[in-house]
Amino acid sequence: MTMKEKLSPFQASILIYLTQSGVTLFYLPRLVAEAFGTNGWIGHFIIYFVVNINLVLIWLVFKLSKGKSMFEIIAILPKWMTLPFNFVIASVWTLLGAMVTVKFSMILKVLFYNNVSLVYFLSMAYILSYMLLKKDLYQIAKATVVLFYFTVWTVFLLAFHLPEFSFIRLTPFIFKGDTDMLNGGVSVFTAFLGYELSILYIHRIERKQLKSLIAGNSLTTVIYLGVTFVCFGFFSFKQLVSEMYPVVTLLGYISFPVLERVESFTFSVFGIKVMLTTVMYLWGTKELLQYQFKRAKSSYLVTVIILISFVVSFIPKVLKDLDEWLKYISYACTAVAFLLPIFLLITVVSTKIMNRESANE
Amino acid sequence: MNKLFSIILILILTGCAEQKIIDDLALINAVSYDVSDNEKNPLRLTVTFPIITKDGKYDRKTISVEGKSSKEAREKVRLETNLKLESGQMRVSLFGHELAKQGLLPTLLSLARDPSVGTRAKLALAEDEASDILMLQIKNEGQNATYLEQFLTKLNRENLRTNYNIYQFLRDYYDDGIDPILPVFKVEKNNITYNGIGLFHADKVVGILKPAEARYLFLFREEMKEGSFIDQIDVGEDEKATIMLNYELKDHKIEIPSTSTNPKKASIYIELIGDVIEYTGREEISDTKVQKKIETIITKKINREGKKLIVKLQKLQVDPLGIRRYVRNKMDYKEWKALDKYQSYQDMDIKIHAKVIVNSSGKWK
Repeated sequence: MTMKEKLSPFQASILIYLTQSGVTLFYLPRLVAEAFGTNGWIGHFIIYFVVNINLVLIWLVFKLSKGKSMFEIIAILPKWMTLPFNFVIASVWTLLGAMVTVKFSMILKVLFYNNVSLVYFLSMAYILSYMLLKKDLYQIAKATVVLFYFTVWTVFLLAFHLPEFSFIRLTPFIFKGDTDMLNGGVSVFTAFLGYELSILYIHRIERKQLKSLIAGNSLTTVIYLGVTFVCFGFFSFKQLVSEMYPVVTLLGYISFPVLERVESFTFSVFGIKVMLTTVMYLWGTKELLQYQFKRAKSSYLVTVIILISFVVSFIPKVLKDLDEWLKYISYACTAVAFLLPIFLLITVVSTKIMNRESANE
Repeated sequence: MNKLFSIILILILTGCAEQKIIDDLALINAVSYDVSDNEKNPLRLTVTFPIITKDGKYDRKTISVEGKSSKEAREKVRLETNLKLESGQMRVSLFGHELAKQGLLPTLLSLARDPSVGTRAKLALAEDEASDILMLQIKNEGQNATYLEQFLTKLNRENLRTNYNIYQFLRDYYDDGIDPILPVFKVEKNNITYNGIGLFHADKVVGILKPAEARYLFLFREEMKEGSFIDQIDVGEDEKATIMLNYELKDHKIEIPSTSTNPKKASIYIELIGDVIEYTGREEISDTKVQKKIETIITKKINREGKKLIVKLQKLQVDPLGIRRYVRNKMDYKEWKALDKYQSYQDMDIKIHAKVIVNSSGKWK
């Protein structure tokens, strides 16, 4: 392969942010309220900290291996050994990527287009994903930055809710009420997933690798924190727990002088973010498979991955099933996020020790 | 070529989505819910939507049906029109007094659950039957829905924060520190008029404040920014005068002394600065002495009337001022949860500390 362009730290941060922020954002405030109880928005700091630890692990892999990519590190292992691992991770990522799009499409269908078949939404999403996936990561990152500017303005819509925001409603109670710190905490954590893909491209970031990873995660946290904080002062606590998609209600509450009910537009803009999450996960899958099957043409791989995701997308029939799927897949994905860097660290360190021993002999 | 094909495909796909031709739609702009006499179908649903008559005139159609629930009744409405029903443009939802006594939550939740209904849809009570208000044909007033919506927006703009929409009602319903209120309308002399504020205990209406009393209620609510005070005051012995004061609410706070575990006291502080617009007394209102005197009179009046209102609210066990929110913020979570909130609210001693300052006497000495 030809020499690949490097990502600038800014591009990397944006890439992390857009991979992380996906469909969960629409119900994140409810998840947070269910998990941490009153003033649950503070809980984001805990999750932020945990994610940063994970990012440091990924960075350590990069640092100790002196800038090697993940595939260069595992190259010392025979292919038949890496195959099952890669295969499992690839399927987890494909499933997550696909289910995120399905979730978005299903919400879109429930809320705005009751009579439109899912096939249309999914076809649109996968055609767009295919067009991005055909390109190299550098091109995807460039597109991401454009799409970032395209979507980031939605954050300022929160200003519309200030008249209804009240500090008294926040209550002085911290983490009280029916809390479910562990299970709930993990489901809030899944909203932050997406950063773990950086293990595949950290070696391609030009400089300030750790900083740009953490900056991306910080951006996500700031936006999540903003949205959740506003929700806690905008809704009363029990109302927030009963709202299926608080952020959609939040968007729906905005009214412009001439336009009513703009949420169907803003919600669709969010679709871009969801699509990028899918694209990045499918890209990760592609990279893994490419390593295993060096001789396969990349464009064939992309087509196969897109087709598989498209077919898989139709397995969960209703939102309830889908939520079950998403739950277990994101648990698996969380496990991958932590275990993969740890496994790589072990590999790097043991390679070093073995090399030293052989040098000593 | 490939790109062009994909772009065309995406554009064409959007056309496959559902079509809505506006001429074929019944865009419901107001609904009302009442209790019906029919035991089998206890809910009366009335919907109104604009139509264009055959000779091109803008008119409206109102359909009233009885059903078991709001959505079941809606299905019956479907059988009575040639147009496709759409709830997306619903602006106002009215509730009859009887239904409100039984509780609004089931009906409200079916509105909140329906994704096509916006959370900004405004709510109001009818003093009697809500369907009377929607059925009323006011001369030269096209759509009752638009009329009501404008009316509610106006009340809101005049700082009578009655503009209670679905989101606000549910928010205060689910908040354990405040109770919702709704504006009340009635049919009078072939017109729809505003007639006070309905007070809610949870989701059930327990009393209606007349507009004159409701004015004081808004004075003590925090959203108030400005308003006008019109009342008759005693200025001397056997002498009454009417005064109108356009005021600005400078300060508003509710304080709970943080001493005991179950606060028994609360104080509401308000400060008004106003300009006299009308004064029918014989004295010179521009005189500072007279102004001082009037300030004390109005202050006393607000304190007295306000106290009366608060006692009434406490008796009804409704807390539209959200005093319990302030109590909650002084308490420990466990103690707060264990507290009998309405009882402790009823037993509270709530004091009003008003301060009125006359700024000017208008543009006449």
